[in-house]
Amino acid sequence: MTFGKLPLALLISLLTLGSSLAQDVNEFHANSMTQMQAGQWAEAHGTLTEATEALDDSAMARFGPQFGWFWYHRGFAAMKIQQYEDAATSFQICYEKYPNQNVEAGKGNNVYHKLALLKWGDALKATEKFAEALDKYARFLAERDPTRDKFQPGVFNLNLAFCNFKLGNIEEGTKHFKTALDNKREFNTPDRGIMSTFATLVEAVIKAKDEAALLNFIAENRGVLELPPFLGHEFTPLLMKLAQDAKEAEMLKGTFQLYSLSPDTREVVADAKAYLKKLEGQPRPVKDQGVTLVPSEIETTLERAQRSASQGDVSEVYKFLNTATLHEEVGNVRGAYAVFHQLELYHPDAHIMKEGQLTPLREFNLYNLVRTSSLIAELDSTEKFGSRFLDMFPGSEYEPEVQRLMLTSLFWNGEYDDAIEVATSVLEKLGSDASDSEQHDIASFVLAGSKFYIGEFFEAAPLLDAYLERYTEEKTEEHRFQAALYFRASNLSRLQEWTRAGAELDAFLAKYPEAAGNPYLPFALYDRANVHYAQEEFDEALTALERVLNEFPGFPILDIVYNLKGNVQQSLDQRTEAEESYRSALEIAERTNNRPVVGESLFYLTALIGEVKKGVENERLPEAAAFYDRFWNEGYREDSPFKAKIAVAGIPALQDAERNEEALDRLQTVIAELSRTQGNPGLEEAINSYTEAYLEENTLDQLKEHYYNFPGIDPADSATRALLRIAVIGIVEEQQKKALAEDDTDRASANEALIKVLFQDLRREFDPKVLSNFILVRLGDFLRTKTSSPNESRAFYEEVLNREDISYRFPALFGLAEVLADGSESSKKQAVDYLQRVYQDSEDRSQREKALARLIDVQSSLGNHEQVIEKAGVYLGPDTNFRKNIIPVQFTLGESYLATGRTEEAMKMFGQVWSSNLGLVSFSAPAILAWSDIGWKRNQADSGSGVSDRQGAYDALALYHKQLSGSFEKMTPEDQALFQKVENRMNTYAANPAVEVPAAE
Amino acid sequence: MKAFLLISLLFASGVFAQQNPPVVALAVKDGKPFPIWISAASDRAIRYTETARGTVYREALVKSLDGLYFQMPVAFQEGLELFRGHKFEEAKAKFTAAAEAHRIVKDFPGNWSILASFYLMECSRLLMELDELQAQMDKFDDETLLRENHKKQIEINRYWDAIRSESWTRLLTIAEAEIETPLPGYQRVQLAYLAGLANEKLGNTRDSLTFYNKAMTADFGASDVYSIQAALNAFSLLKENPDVQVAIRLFGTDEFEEASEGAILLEEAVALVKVWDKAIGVGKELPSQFREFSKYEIKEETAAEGS
Repeated sequence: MTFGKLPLALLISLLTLGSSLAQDVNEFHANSMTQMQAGQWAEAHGTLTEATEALDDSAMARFGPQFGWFWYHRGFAAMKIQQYEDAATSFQICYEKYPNQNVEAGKGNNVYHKLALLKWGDALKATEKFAEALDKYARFLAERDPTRDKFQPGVFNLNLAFCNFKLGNIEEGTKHFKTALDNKREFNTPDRGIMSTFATLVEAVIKAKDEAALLNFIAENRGVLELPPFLGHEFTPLLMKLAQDAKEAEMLKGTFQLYSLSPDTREVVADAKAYLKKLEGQPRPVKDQGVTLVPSEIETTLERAQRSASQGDVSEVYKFLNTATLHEEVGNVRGAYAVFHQLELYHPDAHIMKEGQLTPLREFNLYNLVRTSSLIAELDSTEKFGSRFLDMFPGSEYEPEVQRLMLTSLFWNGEYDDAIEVATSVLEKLGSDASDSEQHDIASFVLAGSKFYIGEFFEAAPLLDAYLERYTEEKTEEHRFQAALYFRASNLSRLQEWTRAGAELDAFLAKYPEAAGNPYLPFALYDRANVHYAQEEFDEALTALERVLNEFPGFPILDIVYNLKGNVQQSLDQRTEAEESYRSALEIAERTNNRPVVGESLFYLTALIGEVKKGVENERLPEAAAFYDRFWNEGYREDSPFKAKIAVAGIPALQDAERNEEALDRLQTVIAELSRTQGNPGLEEAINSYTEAYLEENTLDQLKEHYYNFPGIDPADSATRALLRIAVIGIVEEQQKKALAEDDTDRASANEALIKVLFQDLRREFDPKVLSNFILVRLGDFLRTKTSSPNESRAFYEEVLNREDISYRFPALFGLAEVLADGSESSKKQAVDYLQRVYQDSEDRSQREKALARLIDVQSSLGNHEQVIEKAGVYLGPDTNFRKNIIPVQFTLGESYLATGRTEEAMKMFGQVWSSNLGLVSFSAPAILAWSDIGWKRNQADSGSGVSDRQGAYDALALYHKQLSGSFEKMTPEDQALFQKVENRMNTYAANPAVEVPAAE
Repeated sequence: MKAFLLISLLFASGVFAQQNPPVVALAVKDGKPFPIWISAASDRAIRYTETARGTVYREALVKSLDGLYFQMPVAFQEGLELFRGHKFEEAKAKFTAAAEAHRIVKDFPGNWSILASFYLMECSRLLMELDELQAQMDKFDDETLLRENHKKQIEINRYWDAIRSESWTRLLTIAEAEIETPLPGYQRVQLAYLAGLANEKLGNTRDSLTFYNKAMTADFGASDVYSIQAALNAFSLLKENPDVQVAIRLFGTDEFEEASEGAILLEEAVALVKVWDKAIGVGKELPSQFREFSKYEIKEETAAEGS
């Protein structure tokens, strides 16, 4: 600015004036100059205002146009103190009242005349009269003297752009803005002016909803708009505000482009430090490429940036938050997750200004990180950051939600071990006070469900029961209730509690019969089929399986469904159909690379096709051998639970192919491998088959020797060694049976002694804890049936029942029940429960039959005759088709009829027993005694057969006596005693006058 | 006198690099700044004149000066504006010129020559000219770089080389570890992109998608070269995913399962198209094969009917 010197013309003219006036003008001039040079703009403005008010009326006449100096500088000072209206008026008067026209000699020119137009424009711009401002700028350009009226083209173009943007003339404004930017260095266009004009451009495009104009402008001018970080930091708040405005106007691309113009805080710090290093030793600001480098200002920038960084209040935090919002709003949760993860990584101390306060943000960020991670199933993150959140913000308003997210996310994504850990911890923290809260509900559900899914069925069972008892349908979310109902039913089937499982699955299927809204439907149908199969309800099993196959073509375990279907069909002796099902399972499993199921299907096919029945030639053995070979040669043996089974099932096919040695070697290897496998699945069956095959070419002694030193078995592996011993016992038992059948008493007693010794060795040498369930049951059975202290067997059965391994559960239950049945009344009642369980849930039909018969027997001994009548009715009814214990069951039923006063039914039942089983004296004798006693006591004149009851009783006894007396010598002493009772009764009746005894033949 | 002898010896030994036109600098001695035109320099001494066309050469030990500020070469400023304007190819020529213009002072900390060489490498990296980047790296000595961030970038440049050698596991290990450290946004973008790429090559679809999303968001679009490429890679990954292909086939049928892996990823692709339209795809059209994802958006009414 040229206020430093009064133009020479004015000085000359002032000197020519009257002394007092000249004195005033000079004083005004000098004072204002001094004040302006000292930057005392308010004072200067006061002096200049006084001068213009005092002198203006006659100034033109007295001083000529040069008096415009005062108006121009008054305007200039007014601009400095932001009195823009006064400034505009001052510049206007300078321009309009003091033109350089007809200047009298001695009166100087107004050198500011045209410049006043420019400044007038500036003042009008400041008072937001943009159109008028543009008019003044245009007039300035048109009227100015290029040699004298200098101006800053950078600033001038920015002002033109600014006014045009304010007036909505985006295109025109952009033209001028670009001129200023393209010539930034030449015009020395100031950064602050650039940014304020840019802000106006953004306002204009938002108003005009013309995002494209903004995007294009940034794309074309990014190189100039994006300032070096240490300079750009100053404009970050402005850019953030503009970005927010753009966001609110839904110009999201614009928002992000604006974000991209503001420098990263870390870059600002690095840049400022680097410049300060470069400027070391410089005593004054350094000008470089249009930028004035002022070390103190750079230091201030550095301090600000570092302070913001240390407070966590940096622009990146706001940018991240808005980025997350955008991504989540459009459904890209992974993008939001990516943002929250970065916030946690790079800005753990993030703060934002909220209602004028710096507010910490980490709690909010971490919560959102957990939330978004759970939504996209980034489970590691959910757990990691969820745990971090819970540690850092106990009692937070988000705490329950974080716990819920962690649990549900882990659970529904199959991370059950972690889910159990978290759920257990949550339940511990909640304690008993939090009953029925949603947290407690979810944690309880997740814990029980996870136990179910990881196969801890015993632990899952009480948890699921407790959950469903506490969280009834009304008290929890429907999806959890539904899931828990299914889990419980399915869990029961895994525990082989078939009856309960069947009932619960039926109830579940009845409650949720439609696939829509029941994601568990195909699984429940499959489970139901499995239960039906276990309970030998094969047709029902097939029906359920058909439903799965027909209604759920995309069911992910169709291969397993087909295998079960094959099992059912095989049980129905539908061998062709079964083979077809197994082949379907194989095809699906191969296609989906489900290797365990491929191995299973190969086993079923080997066993089905390779089965050899006595006396029947099997021409398909080579086919079976091919499936067998595929199992072993194509790598399905690894970790397959079927390797022992297929090694056994393939023996006939291999023997047929004269590969007996190979079959035995493989079986031997499998036995050794299984001995090292947790739980030894299939080991017993493998040993039995091996034994059978081995004995075809070896003696018992060789077997014994071989088994006591079995290749590949660790001497410390007690479980396997015990199994091998049991195998030897089994063989001796077989031989003993044979000896007994052949009446070779010497061999039989030798064998019996050997068996006793072998069992005793087994009991002495092996700790029950290391023995398999199979051996424990065998030992228990031996102690129960072959020794005088059956009670000792209880420990072995109970060991089995205390294990989670559910194999041999039912034989153990039965054995224990047998021991208890001979005990006190309370023991008997316990025996009833166990027998009932075996009858209901065992998959072994003969075991079920035995259990039911024994149950009837025990109920009878307890005097529970109604129970006996009911159960015997089941046993003898057409549905069960049980045969083995008909006679004792009929006899016991007869007794119960008698005890309950149903003499007719009793008589009928006893009659069936003795008349159909004469030779079985142990039953027929007591039956005929009971039968005749009833008739005798009834004493009707005509029993319906034309004779009296008493005569009929005698006749029957006589007939019985006659039929069996010839066999008397061959009877056991017990039977002889019973026969004697019959004879005594017959003689007693014969002595009665009501009885007519036929003459001896 | 002693100093003069030493400098003369330095000049005589040929340690000095010489150049024309001279490097303009602002020297400070005894607290007084004065412009100098340096015609030859080592890391310890300079030869200069005190006017632009001066013929009186003076020599000084650098340590005898209180300050020495090298004026930014015009070519560097022009290069930087082009670089910031994402005109990397054009910027290369300017940075090459700037590096040459201040070559004689390249041993001074924070000199413009080394900085120009640095930005030259940045251009190669952003243009994905990895062979060239590696060749530049081989010649580059980062000792005089002042900013730690720039030194870090030199390290990251080595990771880019893993793309050339297809060392995906190594790249993944490094990138995943590095991205955990506090770095400026433009470097986080690179590491996220590299981790996304390595995961993609190693067949880790979900991890790859997550890292590509980090690349899209790490510096809010400023490194659009990578954010755009990350989005395109994510689209390709989703397009080629077998589960997504199944979901596309089943879309609109009763067999379409919203909770399936394919359907979830398909909807992620749909959302990504929106992200592209709203934020990422500035100045670049989304290829039609990816825009087609929009057809598979599950409308709320559909979702409500299905649920």
